[in-house]
Amino acid sequence: MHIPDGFLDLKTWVSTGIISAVIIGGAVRKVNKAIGAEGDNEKIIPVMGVMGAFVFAAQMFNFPVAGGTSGHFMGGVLAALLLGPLTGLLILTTVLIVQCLIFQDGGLTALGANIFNMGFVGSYLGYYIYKILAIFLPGPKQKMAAIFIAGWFSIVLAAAACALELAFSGTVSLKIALPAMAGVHALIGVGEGLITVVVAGLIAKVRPDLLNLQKV
Amino acid sequence: MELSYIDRYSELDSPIHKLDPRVKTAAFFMYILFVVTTLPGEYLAYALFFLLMLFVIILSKVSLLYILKRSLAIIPFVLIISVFLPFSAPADRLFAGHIKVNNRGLELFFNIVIKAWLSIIAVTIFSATTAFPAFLKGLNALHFPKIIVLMLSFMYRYSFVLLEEVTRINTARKSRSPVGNTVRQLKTVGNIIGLLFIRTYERGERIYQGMLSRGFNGEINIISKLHIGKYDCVFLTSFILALVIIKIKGAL
Amino acid sequence: MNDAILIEGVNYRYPDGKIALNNINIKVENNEAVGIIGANGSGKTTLLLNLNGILRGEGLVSILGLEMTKTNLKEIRSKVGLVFQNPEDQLFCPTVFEDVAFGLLNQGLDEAEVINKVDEILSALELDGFKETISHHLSAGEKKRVALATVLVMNPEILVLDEPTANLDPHSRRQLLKILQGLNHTKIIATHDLELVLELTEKTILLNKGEIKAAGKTKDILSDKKLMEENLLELPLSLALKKH
Repeated sequence: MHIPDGFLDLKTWVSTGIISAVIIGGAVRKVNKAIGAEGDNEKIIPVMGVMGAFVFAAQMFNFPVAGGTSGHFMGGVLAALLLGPLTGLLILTTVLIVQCLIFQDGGLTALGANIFNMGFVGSYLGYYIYKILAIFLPGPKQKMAAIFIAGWFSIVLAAAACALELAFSGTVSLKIALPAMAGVHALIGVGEGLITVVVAGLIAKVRPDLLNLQKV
Repeated sequence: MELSYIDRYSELDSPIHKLDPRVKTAAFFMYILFVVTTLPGEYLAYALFFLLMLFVIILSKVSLLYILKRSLAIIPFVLIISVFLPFSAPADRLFAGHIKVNNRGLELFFNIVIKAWLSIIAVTIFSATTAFPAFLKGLNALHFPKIIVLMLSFMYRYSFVLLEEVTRINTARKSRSPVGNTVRQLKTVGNIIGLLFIRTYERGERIYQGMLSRGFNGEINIISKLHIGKYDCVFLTSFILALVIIKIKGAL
Repeated sequence: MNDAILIEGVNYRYPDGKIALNNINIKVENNEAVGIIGANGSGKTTLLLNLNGILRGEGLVSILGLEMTKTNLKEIRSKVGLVFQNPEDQLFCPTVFEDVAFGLLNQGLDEAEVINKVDEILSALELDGFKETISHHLSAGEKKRVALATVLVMNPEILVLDEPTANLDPHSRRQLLKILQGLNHTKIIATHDLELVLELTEKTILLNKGEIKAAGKTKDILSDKKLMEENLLELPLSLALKKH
């Protein structure tokens, strides 16, 4: 899902770049405000720092998807669930910067689009999908269902956003790319959802207090 | 999980390594900008852009083979998109005898792949010749939001530590249970990631304690002793000049 | 003159309510070296974290005459240098220089002064040439010495070390031991490395389940076979061999 350079046209990568910059700017301001608030909030700095490394390491896990292909864990909903939607967005942002520069995974001009897809849609929006679902699914078992669905949506919607940007650029035709991208990622999304549920379940069992950390 | 190539070439001494990280960032960003805005069919421009980067690679003393190998990272995405292509526009000819494709669409796609490949080479050579800490200093000097610079810095420092931890957990798991079906595998991956989260959070707490012990008060100060010299200016000017010339020549 | 460390009736509970320290009383004089020994979970690390207010229980903790209160916290932390067990937790910056400079920058020193002090301490700990080294490229012994440097550079009066020799090979351990011997700070050393305690300290405190079971001369405590075994420890090899 990491779009390389060249696949987006000028208008698309410039506009997604600006949108992402504005969103990140807002997130940075709010996180800084939270750190500056009373209490031992400076702890957010090292915790956010190592959590970036955590999501980065977690994304190294591949899992098999039907048909011999494999997907990898994204962790957008997981990060937002544990640390808050803005933190999730910033973590995904830094992960994508490192993947672009060190691993050449995703292009430099496409960074804005990739951050929008995985950071904003995948993590920030995924979190609010969970929040809305959790209203209708309040019990502990139902909450897990909400987490699964949010995890699934985060992948499928991020893939759809990716298809839209490619189509908007004239690289592919929308009526082919959208169902194809969404279709493939509907399978990967199942993996994402299941892993997120297992992780949340394990933490609930071993360190339930970590599910109630301060969320920014 | 191959991380050993990070910093593999960053300690060499070359005219490219010597550049101020800000200047280098600007130069490579300009390069990619010029490449992606090249119009389809300007093959001369593509060839000249490649030669320019080849010249940079030779200057940098980084192995050409290494750069080419790393540049293959775009292949998966190229393959995914190429699957859609034959259906993207009304077909006006047959490809490989039986697949219907659109000629213009195919050429467009070919252009995109070239752009992607040239850009990835540029990013690879940039990251190979820039130590990550120097890059972070550059971001800080450019007044990038500090929280993001710090997160990148932690990520760089701890990814290695965490991946070692993952490897240890993985080895312990493999020695106990063989691989199962997909759901089982997903469950195992989930449990490892969950364990990693708990351990990482605890590590974050210990790091915080260590920071407090050394007088941390919510503000991290970074010394970015960087200096843009005459050499940096000459390099950047001539590099951009070369890009402009290629752009004009290529359009002819 | 004030005692370096005075602890009276300190109790500490973990957030989950479990007792970690129970009625701890300790007095350490200036320039004294004190070993803290005890099995895993005996409360060694918790005690150390109470010495600079990272953790705060009930009772009196006084450092160089300064009582542990919120207002004194900053000054106390500048006088107590804490070296953690795992250097990976202490070295969180990309390069050695940034980690060693971190504390100095928090003290508000200007850049030139910071650079000078970092150079000085690196050379004192035989780490010349490591200034720009990326932390994860260091060996275990080097990491430990850099961790020590990050604390020593701030010029503390009391040095608190948690398992300083853990994970070190014999050569690195000896090198670190020599460095520690050369420092005349007040030293508190929590460790399983009993030979280290014998070589570096005059006094020892034995902890078990959060309580002080014995305190006194290092030699007396470490050679008391019955006491050591009751508290899940054993005689250090050098003393055990001497007896036969």
